[in-house]
Amino acid sequence: MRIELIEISKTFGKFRALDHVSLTIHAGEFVALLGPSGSGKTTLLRIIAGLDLPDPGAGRLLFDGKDVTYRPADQRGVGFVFQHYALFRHMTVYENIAFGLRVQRRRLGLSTAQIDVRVRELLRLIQLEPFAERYPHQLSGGQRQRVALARALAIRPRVLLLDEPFGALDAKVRRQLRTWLRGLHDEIGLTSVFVTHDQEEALELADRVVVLNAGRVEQVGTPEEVYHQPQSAFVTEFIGTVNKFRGIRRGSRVEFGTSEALLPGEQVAVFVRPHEFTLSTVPHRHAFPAVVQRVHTAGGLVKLWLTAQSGETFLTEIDPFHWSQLTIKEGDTVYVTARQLRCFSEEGQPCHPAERFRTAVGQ
Amino acid sequence: MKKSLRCSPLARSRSILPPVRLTAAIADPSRLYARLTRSSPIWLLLHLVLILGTVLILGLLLVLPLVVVLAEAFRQGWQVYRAAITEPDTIAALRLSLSVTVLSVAVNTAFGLSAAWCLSKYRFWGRNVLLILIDLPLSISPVVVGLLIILVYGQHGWLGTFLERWGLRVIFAFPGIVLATAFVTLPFVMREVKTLMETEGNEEEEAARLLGANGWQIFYHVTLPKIRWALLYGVILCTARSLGEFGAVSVVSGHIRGLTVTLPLHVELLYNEYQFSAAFAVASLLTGVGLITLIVKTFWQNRLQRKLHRGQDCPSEEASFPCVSN
Repeated sequence: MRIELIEISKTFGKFRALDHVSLTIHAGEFVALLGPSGSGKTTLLRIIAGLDLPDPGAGRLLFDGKDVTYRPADQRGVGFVFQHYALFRHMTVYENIAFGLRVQRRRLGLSTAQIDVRVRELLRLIQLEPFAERYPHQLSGGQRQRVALARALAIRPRVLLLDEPFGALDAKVRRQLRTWLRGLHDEIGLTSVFVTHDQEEALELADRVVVLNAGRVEQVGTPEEVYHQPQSAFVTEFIGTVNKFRGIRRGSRVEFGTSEALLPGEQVAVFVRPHEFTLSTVPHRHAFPAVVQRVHTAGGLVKLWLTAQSGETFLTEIDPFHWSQLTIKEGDTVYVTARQLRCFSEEGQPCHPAERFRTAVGQ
Repeated sequence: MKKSLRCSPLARSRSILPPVRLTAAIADPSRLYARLTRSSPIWLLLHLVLILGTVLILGLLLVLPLVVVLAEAFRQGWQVYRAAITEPDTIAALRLSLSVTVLSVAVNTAFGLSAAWCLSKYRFWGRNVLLILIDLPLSISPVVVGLLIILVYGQHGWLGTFLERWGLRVIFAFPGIVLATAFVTLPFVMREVKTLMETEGNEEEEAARLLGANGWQIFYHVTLPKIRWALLYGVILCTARSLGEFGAVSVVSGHIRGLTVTLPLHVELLYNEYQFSAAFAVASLLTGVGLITLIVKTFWQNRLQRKLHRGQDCPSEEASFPCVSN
């Protein structure tokens, strides 16, 4: 099912949770709403579900082209998984999953036997068949999460909405569930939207990522686009690890450092990802010198914290092979060039095509 | 019990701290406490005095009166006791009291549930005023409540003249007594249920709604099971208070024997007529009903606690009242 949000605004008292948000989610897509807390991502999800309404007159919501802005939540046919699961604690796992079918029995024309078949099928799907008669408090976090998912799927929703679905789980379970959920989505052919503040989760799981900040959509794109071509300073900083340099742009050159040392020019912020630096032990024209502060070799990449002459400390990552050829240690000076950098003005807008600044960081 | 011992300042300072200097002791009361318990007999004496005082007060205020009620009731023997509680007027009073209680508890349960729902789920203009209004019966003297009811519903009252034309008599009749009782016991259910609803949040109801449940289904299948213990507790409190209500009912009842005399009023009547044994016999009846409600409450509470210990999330997931008293 295609979901269209058109110019949706929502305020709580004086707080503006959503500010003219427009967004189209295509049928069968798996979309992540990504943003820091307070960015409006959960509010957006709740508006799609019908648990919150947009401000009167401020925006429309379409399902497959049909206006559903004011359709009651119980008639939207939306599956919703709450952050803390919201399982019915006085019902068993079986009863929890059966709930949606039981309350809509007449409307759907289901017999008790049909409901039983469906619930068993879902129990098999979430691999919790032996736990049917348990109560939620007798389950682990990951199991509860799966029950919440099965309960939402029981009514055969066309849209699945998930609010921080893995937020309350430990790292390992989270990883497993993530892969499983993605598989499930592809298998059933749902349209799914999930909210997260974990960028790694969003990039790994989603077809498209919607980055939200302060109630506005900052950028919509595939994980690759959002990661490699961020369109604002916010997205650049929020997605992935990044080093930020404040500086002055003059022509095609960016100089960073303490402001007194700099000539007047346009104030800009330059972002470079840790793996986009090249390190060398010999000085050359475009490189700037920096002192190795700390080296961290446990892991797939070697992490080095360097300090430039102007006092800025930044993180670089190089592969272990390159590291072994460098033969440097803490306290040594290396010469640094940035293969790629992204420049944004004070207001967070891109200030120039990034290629123009290649290897131009210097002092 | 174990936990509180482990956490008490006494246990902590004993295990960790060597004897302390006076300045340090003043700066930290728990150290002072530890030092005093170890060194001075005065502190021990104070302990003793406090414990004895508590026992004495409990005995004088609670236990002794209970014993006296029973002793006085049976002083002239079982026969007199039986005669007193099987006397037609007593039976009539008991019947009246029970029907008044059932009615006002029913009204207040319905009201309490809706008010709690409304106050805990919605923020609206005038909410605070409503909160104060609902608590009003707790702070106004019941006698004043009785007088207010007479002023409004009495023969020359604002609504009274109107109702009289329809042949409905409120004051010195059954409706007045129900009105007075319901007024006085108004907040009990609401307070218990509201507290719980506020701590529990709304997510389960939202989940039910998204699964297609209508309002009634949500209430019956989700909300009611969630709040049942708080509701029961509120109903029990409300029942106990309704049965025992004296002041407001006394003003509006008119004391017509066999007709508008509730159990507490009956006790007073008998006492004023110097039928002490009969008065105490009826009083013991009232006390009995009160004790039974308390026992029922404790029973439910224990059951719930056992249930909770099987689960693990006491404060967040279940009713707040049994956990607080844990």
